[in-house]
Amino acid sequence: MAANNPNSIETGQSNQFDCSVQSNQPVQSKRYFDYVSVNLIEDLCSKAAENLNSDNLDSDDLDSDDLDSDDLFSFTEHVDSFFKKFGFTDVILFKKPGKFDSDFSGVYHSLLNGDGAVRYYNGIEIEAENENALHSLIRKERPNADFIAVRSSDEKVIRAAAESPEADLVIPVTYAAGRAQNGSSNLHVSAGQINHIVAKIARDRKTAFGFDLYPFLQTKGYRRSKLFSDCMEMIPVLNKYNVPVLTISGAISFYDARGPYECEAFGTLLGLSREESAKGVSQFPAEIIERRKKQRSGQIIASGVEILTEDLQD
Amino acid sequence: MIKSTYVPFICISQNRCIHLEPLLPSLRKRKRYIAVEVISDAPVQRNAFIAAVSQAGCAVLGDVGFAVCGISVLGFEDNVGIVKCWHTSVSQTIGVLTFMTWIDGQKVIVRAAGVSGTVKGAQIKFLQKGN
Repeated sequence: MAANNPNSIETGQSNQFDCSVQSNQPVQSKRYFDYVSVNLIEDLCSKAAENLNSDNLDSDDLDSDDLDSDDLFSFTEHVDSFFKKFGFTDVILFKKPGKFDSDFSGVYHSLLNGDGAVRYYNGIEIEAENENALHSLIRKERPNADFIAVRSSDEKVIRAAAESPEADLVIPVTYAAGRAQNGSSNLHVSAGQINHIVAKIARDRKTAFGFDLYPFLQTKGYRRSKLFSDCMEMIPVLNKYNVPVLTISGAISFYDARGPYECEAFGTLLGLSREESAKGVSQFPAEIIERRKKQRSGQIIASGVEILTEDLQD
Repeated sequence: MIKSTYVPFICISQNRCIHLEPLLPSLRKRKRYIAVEVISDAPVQRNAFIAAVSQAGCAVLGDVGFAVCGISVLGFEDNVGIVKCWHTSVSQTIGVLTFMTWIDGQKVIVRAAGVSGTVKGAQIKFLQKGN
């Protein structure tokens, strides 16, 4: 047995890794958050549908109305097991403003309403051209969303997002599809800039900054190193003013997904300390979600005024 | 007065290679063993994985950074394996594994299942005998 003979690994003997990786992560008491696109759910469900050898389920004819409760349950189980395997306990599913129109929108809604091992939150990612458009979009989407993120590389929009108490996260990196090279897509990426004023405002308004892995995975060479250097410039400013920094996967498809260990490691590569990057996948997002939950339930009356117990209300 | 001098044990083999006595345990660098799993459509070969690790390491950390981390692949079979690094560079090593997106022409996810101080620990805690 390979486990009883650790030295045999170094000799390169065969049949010592005929083993499966344990599905449960070593630390499960801690909450780990991720921020992924709803397109990932669609991708996961499509893969599951392909693998299903059912006679009555054809992936070409899939429609939200066609999915019966059993199919819905199997798809949600599949998505749950995917995130559980990576070790996540909470997942923010982000989509662009507007209705999510897909064959698997039923799965998306059942995930949001379900109470399984992994909790899902409704997130909206806003990309606005200017401050006015940003404010109007935030005002429109806030009542329905658990989590609002603003993605922009424009300094004015970044500042407006940091100033807005309704925005939870600012992602100062944008990307657009570029020409594919050697089978892999090479994104056009651009990172914004921040200064000490924006960092101070973000700290006061409790707006977090986030960096997602997706544009880093989809670029290489000079573009990736430029992106790294641009993001690395922001980290010391954010650290100086104690602005929470989230490191997220931002996965759009199956192969973009990464685990909490990887997101933590990404944070340390950007220049965060190990403690800060660990908080960036667990504590900081949990605080944001809890604060929004309290606000929606009316527990937070105004900034700095919070009802702590039910007894005080009487 | 006789001075005690330390003479390192030198063994000259038939090939005239000199083997110094191994370093004291306290002087050796501490190591960490990262249990990894590769998620892909088709099985990944050992040599392809090793080549991809070194390629990604040099791309992300640079040649010098890769050398400083002391990354090496101990074993890899059936899409699971163990990657060794120095204890000061665990985050960088996981970072390198994170940025591995393609191996041998196919898309992959390289997931760090866990980190241990011994090979045995990594196997027992994170790699379970096939069931």
